[in-house]
Amino acid sequence: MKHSACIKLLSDLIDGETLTITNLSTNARMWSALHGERPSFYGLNMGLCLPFAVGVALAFPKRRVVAIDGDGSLIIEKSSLITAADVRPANLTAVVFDNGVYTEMGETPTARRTDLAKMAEGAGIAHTATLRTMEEYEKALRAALAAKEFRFLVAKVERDDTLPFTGNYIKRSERGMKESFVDALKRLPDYPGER
Amino acid sequence: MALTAGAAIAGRRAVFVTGIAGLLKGGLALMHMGPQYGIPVFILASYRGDFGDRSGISGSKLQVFRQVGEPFLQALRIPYQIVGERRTLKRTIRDAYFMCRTSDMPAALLLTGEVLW
Repeated sequence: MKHSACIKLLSDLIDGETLTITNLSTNARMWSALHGERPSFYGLNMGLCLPFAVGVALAFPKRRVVAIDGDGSLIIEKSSLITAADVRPANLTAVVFDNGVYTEMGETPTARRTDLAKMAEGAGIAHTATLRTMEEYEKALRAALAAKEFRFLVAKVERDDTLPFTGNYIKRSERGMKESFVDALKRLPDYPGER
Repeated sequence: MALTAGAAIAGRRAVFVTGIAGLLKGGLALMHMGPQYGIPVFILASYRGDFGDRSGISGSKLQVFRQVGEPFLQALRIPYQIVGERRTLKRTIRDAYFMCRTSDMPAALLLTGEVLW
């Protein structure tokens, strides 16, 4: 599967009420092109995407939250799987785009022999899947986004030689991006904090 | 650490409770949540190796935490305070949490032996 095709389908299936959290690099660049100014926290560094999304999901229990992570990011902070399995927010969907390499490091492999979905299963996440075709991916994604339980999907993707779409998240300051996200959260009717 | 940050940014009261080893392990997360994003992550950490630590672990193993704990927080410019008296604990937690939320920065309290054991 092409990474960009998978990201595009995810964007097509997500409604405007969903909160999204992305890791660095390719995911953030493509997601910022597709998702625009809708509430999203872009570009969390290595290992921080899934646990951050768990925290946001716990804060907004009635709203869908999607973690858009990568294989390199996930394996750098494997303990986040254990925490996610333990608290298992019913409104959280995690999609890990697994291209097998650290993107910024060229062809440096992430995991040659490790099954990330089985690793998540071993951590205690009840619903995991590895997806290798667009048909499998779309079916699992639709089901996960409609489910009232935490689901963890690993999409095996090929790197795009050139990204067909890229947003401007890299050009924005991290503080500015964060403030935009916080302002968007504060406008939501189910925001749990002080406005 | 990142989970606490996610909940905090979404308006929840959240506290990262950890041993100092967990605080050091969370260095990358703290670097991003603090200096980079400015997210109010509130941290309560044991201060192993400080005077009063009678946890039964040999002193040489504990001393390393004393040697690197504070320089680590200083390097990340994270405001912190050592709490060494139980009678001041409640007030210090309240004050530190207020500072953390109003300044949009992490803050850490290092709890010493007298407070913990």
